[in-house]
Amino acid sequence: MASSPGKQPAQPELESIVRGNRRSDLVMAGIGMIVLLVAMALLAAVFIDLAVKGWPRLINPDFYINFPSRHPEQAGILSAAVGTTLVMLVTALVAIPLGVAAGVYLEEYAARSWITDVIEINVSNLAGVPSIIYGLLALGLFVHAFGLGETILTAGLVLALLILPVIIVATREAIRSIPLELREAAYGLGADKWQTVRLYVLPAARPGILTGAIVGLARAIGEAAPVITIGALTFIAFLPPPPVQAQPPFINFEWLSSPFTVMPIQLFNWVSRPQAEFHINAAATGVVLMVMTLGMNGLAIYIRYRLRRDAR
Amino acid sequence: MADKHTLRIFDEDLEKLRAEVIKLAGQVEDELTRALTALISGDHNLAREVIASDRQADALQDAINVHTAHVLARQQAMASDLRAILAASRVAPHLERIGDYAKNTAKRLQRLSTPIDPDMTAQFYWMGERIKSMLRRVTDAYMRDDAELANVTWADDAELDAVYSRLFERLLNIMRDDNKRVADGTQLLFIAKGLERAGDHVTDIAEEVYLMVTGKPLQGPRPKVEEA
Amino acid sequence: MQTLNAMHSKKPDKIPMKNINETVYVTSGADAAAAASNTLRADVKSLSFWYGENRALSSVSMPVWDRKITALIGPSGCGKSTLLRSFNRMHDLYPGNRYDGEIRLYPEDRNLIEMDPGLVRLRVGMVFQKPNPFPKSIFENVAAGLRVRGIHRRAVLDERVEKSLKDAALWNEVKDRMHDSAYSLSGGQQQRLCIARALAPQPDLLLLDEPTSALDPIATAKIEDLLTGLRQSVTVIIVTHNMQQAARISDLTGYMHMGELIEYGDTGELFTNPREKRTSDYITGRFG
Repeated sequence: MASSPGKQPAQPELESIVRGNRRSDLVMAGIGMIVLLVAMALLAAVFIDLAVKGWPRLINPDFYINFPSRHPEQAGILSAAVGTTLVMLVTALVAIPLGVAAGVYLEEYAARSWITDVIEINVSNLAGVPSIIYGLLALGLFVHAFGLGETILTAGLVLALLILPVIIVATREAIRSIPLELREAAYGLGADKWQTVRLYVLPAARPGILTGAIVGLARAIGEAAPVITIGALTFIAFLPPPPVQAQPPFINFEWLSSPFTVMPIQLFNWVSRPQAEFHINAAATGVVLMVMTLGMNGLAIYIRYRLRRDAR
Repeated sequence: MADKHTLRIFDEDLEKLRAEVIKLAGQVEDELTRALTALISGDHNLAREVIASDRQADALQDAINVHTAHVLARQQAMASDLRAILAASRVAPHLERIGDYAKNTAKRLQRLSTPIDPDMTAQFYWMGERIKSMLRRVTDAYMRDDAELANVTWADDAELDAVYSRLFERLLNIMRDDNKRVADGTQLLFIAKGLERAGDHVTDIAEEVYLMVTGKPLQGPRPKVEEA
Repeated sequence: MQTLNAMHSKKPDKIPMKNINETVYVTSGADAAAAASNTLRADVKSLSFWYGENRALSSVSMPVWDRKITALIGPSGCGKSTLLRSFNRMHDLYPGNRYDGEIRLYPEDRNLIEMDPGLVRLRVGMVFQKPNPFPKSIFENVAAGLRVRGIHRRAVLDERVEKSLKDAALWNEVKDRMHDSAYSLSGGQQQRLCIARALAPQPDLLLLDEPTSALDPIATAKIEDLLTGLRQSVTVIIVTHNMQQAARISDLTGYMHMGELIEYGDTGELFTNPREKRTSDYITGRFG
């Protein structure tokens, strides 16, 4: 401002600028608030609609401990819930270590070259590939070529593939956000690259990595398309063998090769029945699925909050 | 100044400087003692030692000058610290001058043809002792940041001036009565004047110490007896 | 004024005599003798450095005396940090950097520039501009350098951690909360923690890159005090943009400008009677 000191006329001009700024702030805040409210309202409407429709089943304990049935009032989600849990277990155990390892490699070890550039672009693009394509890939590769069959293992692997790009990208972002000073501190102490990554970079990146992993799993839990493609059953009245047993060696892996169903498929199955009573079951399943998804997202937020608080 | 600095090396620097000033004061007091002993006993060997040892006082003063500059350059001294550093640089030249008067005493006594009268010896002895006790007290005041002690010492100079005036009078009379004693009398007159000047330097030091401790100059008329 | 040759003659026999002719070591005065009577810890010889095409250091030569605090001062971009980070080969973490010349490391007389960077960093500790503790407990932060060296025995760790924290003047403030997060400490405490962390592996050389620039005056004074206490046991090189800090705590000061070491010598002497006009202009505030 080249106004000479002591001259009054500059003042009103500045005040009008400040007023203008304040007005545009208010307008932007208002628009943002409206958009947010619309989104929240839509989600709430879906949730409430499902909850009201499915209410009679939601409050019935049988719904949670019964197998599916031809009689809508007896049908439950037990096998679907167990199936979903086991498939998620496989997905998590496969996707998180692989995704983190790939992210660490790309971020810390890979030399900058056109190959890494290509890999990077591919990883980003994979996140946008429709999930049914993964299903087709798994059908060809896991089910037929590897002969793994329509099993929990196959489903876990395909969902792991599906969320791998999410975890890789989240890991890279988390590692990249570690301040340079922390790295230099570790190297300055004489740590080598692996010590630096293992002891200092990864622990500091944990909140971001875990958040990415949980958001990925929350996405996987709702996927029906790839699981249907590989041929999951829609009506199943038994549970896979339990992963733990009373006799040594206490753990068994037979469950991996068991047929299964998952919640989205159960939901899809019920909703495509002509009888209206099954639609009540479908609505109730939808509520449970949403609660699970929101619960996992909530967990991600909580973990991030806890770890960030510990770290700062 | 009992509180330590967070940066202990600063304390060390200040203490080192103060210790050097105190060491110089000790050196000068020692020179005075030996110069007067030589004067009273007519010991020319001792006189030569005094003259030689004054070089150490000069060297100490040079060192204080250099160190004062270093401390000023290195530490951003403020308030009492700044006054302490300034005091060191201003007290040292006074001490060095007192050493010079001791050296001059030693030089002049070598030119005396006859020993001094015993009753006059007592007056020189008294002056020397007086200066030394003032010097000790002002050094104590400097060492302990004692403004009160510095103030008292400042007032002491009056008596010294009075004794000097009487001695001056007597030497003048002696020279008037016996012109063979003019040469010796003149030497003694310069020695007496030197001792009187040494006393003035001690009072100057007292002023510097008072300023260092309180941050204010010593007020009031300077005690002074009319010179004859 | 003494040349290096004169001073080398005072070194113990195990350090080989070397012939450095051009370098004039501008020390004289009272404290110079003390500096000169010491042994060399490192000796930079005609060191040049390039960031890609940009030359950041031009043939710098300077002796680093054992158990002294050496300060590097100069305007921004003068190369003082570049020189400091050459001592632990920090530049090697980034591509495109190039050294020319030598930094001899004593007593074994090896060129640090040709050693494995990891090995160099195991011997040369570093403290950075911003406090950068790890997101771990206070104890684990100080133990970090020991763990990197494969030291995991509890008794050894306990002892070394305690000693380092005492040396860094932090022990009394943290001894009852060793397992709290390092981030629970104040900025000044964090920086002292970083100093303790660097001291724990007992480095031959401790590098500090403007360690107090992010701290308030009191925290700064505490760190300056602990640094002056350290020189009984550690050789320290400190880069500081704060000329007064160099004056306060260092034994030797080097003034750098445009990648060159303009003047290097006893701190008291350099700040009261610099030999180079450029040094004088800088320290008296007559510089650009």
